[in-house]
Amino acid sequence: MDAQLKKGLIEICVLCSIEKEESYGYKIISDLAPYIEVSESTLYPILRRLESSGAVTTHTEEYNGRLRKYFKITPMGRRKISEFKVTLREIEKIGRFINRHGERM
Amino acid sequence: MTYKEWEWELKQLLRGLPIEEFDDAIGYYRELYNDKTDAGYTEREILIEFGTPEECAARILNERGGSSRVATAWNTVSSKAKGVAKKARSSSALMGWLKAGLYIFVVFPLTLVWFSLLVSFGAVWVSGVGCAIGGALVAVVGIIQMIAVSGFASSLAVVGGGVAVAGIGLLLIPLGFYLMKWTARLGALGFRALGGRKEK
Repeated sequence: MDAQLKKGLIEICVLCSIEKEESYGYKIISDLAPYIEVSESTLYPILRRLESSGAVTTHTEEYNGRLRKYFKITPMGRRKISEFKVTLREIEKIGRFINRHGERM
Repeated sequence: MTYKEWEWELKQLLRGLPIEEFDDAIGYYRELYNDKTDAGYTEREILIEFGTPEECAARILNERGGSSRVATAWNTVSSKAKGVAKKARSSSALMGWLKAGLYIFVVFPLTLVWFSLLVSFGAVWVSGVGCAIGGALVAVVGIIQMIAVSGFASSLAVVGGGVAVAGIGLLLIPLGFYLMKWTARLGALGFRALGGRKEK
């Protein structure tokens, strides 16, 4: 898969994983693992980018005597998911066309 | 490699980042490391999944500002910093060898010479004391001979010889003492100078 496309998909997946409730690094990776391959070092820059673009907010809480950073989706993050769903429908349409075209060949 | 070593290397590579970004990146990996340890992963497994510190630093720096040119520049800076650290390490090893050579070929022989001189001057002082006591005793015996036994001239010669030897002894005592004192002071100065160099 194209690296940029994959980064974009991971971004949306991260937003979806915190859509219902806030989450933290390890849990996000664990939630995404069955669907998309994402390493710790890939996730970090994506989380940074989502934070700096305002799609997520963060806060730190103490857990077991150490600090844990939680990520929470913002309205802008939710809008990104909605926009992607529209794009996804368009891609699906294009995909159907490509498949039909391929069958005729 | 342990996690602490891994984190130290990552810190070196990210040293140029603003403090907030630096702390955030280090905090992210530390949190993941702790969470994964709690989940039962071994240190080795976690570090394999993290990748090398260079890879992680490159990803963080690549993302920074969204420009690969910036990242390349950062990577160059990091490599240069590593090169400088490597050179510093090798020059400190060279200094270690030079120091060892200095101790073996200069300091150790000089210490031996110094110690020999100290012992020799000690011997001069001891022989001075011996001469003084011996000479005095001979002179006393000569005087007794002069008074109690006949043979005035020979007894006077014995007294003269004894006094002469005692005189030489009395001269040798302060000479040996001061030579020992100065040698000891010189040695102390030398050891202090070496100690001073070590502190630097």
